[in-house]
Amino acid sequence: MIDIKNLEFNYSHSSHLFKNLNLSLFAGHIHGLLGKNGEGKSTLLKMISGLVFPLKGEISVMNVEPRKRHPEMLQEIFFLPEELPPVNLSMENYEKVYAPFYPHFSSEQFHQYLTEFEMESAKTQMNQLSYGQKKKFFIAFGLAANTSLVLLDEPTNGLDIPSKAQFRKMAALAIEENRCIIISTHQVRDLDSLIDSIVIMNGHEIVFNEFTENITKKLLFKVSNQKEEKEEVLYAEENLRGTYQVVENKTGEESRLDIELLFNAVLQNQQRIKEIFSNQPNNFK
Amino acid sequence: MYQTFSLKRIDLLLKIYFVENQNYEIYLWSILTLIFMFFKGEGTAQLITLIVGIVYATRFFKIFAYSSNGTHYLMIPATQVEKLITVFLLNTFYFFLMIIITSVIGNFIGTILRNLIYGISTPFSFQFFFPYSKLNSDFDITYLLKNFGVFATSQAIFTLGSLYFKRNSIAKTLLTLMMISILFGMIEYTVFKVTMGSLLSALNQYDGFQMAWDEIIFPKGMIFVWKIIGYLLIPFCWIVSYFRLTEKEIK
Repeated sequence: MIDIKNLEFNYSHSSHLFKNLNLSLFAGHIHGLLGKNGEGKSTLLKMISGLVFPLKGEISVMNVEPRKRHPEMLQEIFFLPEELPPVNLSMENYEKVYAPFYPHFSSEQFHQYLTEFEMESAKTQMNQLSYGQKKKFFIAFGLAANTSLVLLDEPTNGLDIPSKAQFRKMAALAIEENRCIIISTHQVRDLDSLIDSIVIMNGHEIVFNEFTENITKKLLFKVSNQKEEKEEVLYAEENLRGTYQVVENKTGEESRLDIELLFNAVLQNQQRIKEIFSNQPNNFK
Repeated sequence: MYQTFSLKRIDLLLKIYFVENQNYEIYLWSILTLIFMFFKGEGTAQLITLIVGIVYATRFFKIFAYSSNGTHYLMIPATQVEKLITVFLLNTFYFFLMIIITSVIGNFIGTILRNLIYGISTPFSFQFFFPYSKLNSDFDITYLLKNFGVFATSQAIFTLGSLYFKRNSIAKTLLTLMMISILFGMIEYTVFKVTMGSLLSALNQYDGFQMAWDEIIFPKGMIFVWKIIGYLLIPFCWIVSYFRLTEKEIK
């Protein structure tokens, strides 16, 4: 679906944002793009959607170079930016004028999503909606457009707690074999149990790219009341319930993936985790 | 194989514009109809067409002043050619057509009201874009076409300006035009200096502004070339606008 090779990009002449960045993302998955603020997550999404052009390297999205902005490619991409546009239309009219651009748009799905988000008044002007409501509207529209690629930049920002859960449910149901959803966020807990592939950016590089099933095979996430002496702890965090730990999974024991712990472990122990995951074939870049 | 041009998409883009701007359109043309009820004739019509036209032309790419609007616009599944054709149709043909319609309606209502109020019987005549000396003559399309040419050039220049300058594009485009004029003035000054010794003697010898078009200084062929350049400016500005839009990034 997305193939990025040797990508170079910078906003100013003095510093590189991306240098020699490589990444492959596949259809049929919900990829979580995680990283601290300013790592370049949004820029990467903009590059994938053809809004920003690389200085060097190649980007291929559905076998097309995104900078060409072919309508056939654009009608298969829905990009939800973090900052939403002010739209001078009612929800009903927005659907009326923008939906015809997307050949797989389903009005039925759209209204179902809006109902799930408790946004039922189609006559409401979009510029009267709050930031969170507007976000819910665009999420509903984006998922109902049934595009092959859905790019969501910080989609849970501004959503209330029930809506976050609703969003996770909707996104999980929307994923299909030929569809790829990329969610960029720094609020890693919001993606809990939603994403099945994790890409972590650090120092403007992709430092981790793994499917979740592979992560739990290789790493063990556990809570312990005593310090482990025998095992090498990749990351530990004190909590009221005890010490949350990430260790190498040598026994094949099953554990529940904690994205926040993983994220911190990767940032703290990047080299060791790279070694663990490079022990067997995977898609680590 | 990609479909590079689709009339259906242009139709959809036009629909977006009219649905999003229906209130703006209603207010604009109502106000202009009111204005044309009181004013008629070449000077006012030309001035209104040019000034309001420029403001109208620069509205379209104002969206790039804010990244969220720019992102939304660029992600609409249509080619840059289709997007630009839509803008061209709206800010050149549609606007000019609406100016004619509103001026006719405004002039018509104005004439009727004046006749009723003052008890006179001035006949209604189509005087839009007519020079003052020809106000009472019959309809002549050449005045209309001539004014359309000037208007289309102005729209093309200011549309390009709005794609180059993120904010205050009208002022910046005017400034750029001024700079270009100064540059041309300097070239002209140099030409006079070389050919006639000094600019002052040239001004004394010939009649002020007319001299540039005097065939003693510039042969007829040269004037023809200037006219051609004037007409070519329209496609030139739109082609450059196309490349500018194609290379537009949202950083």
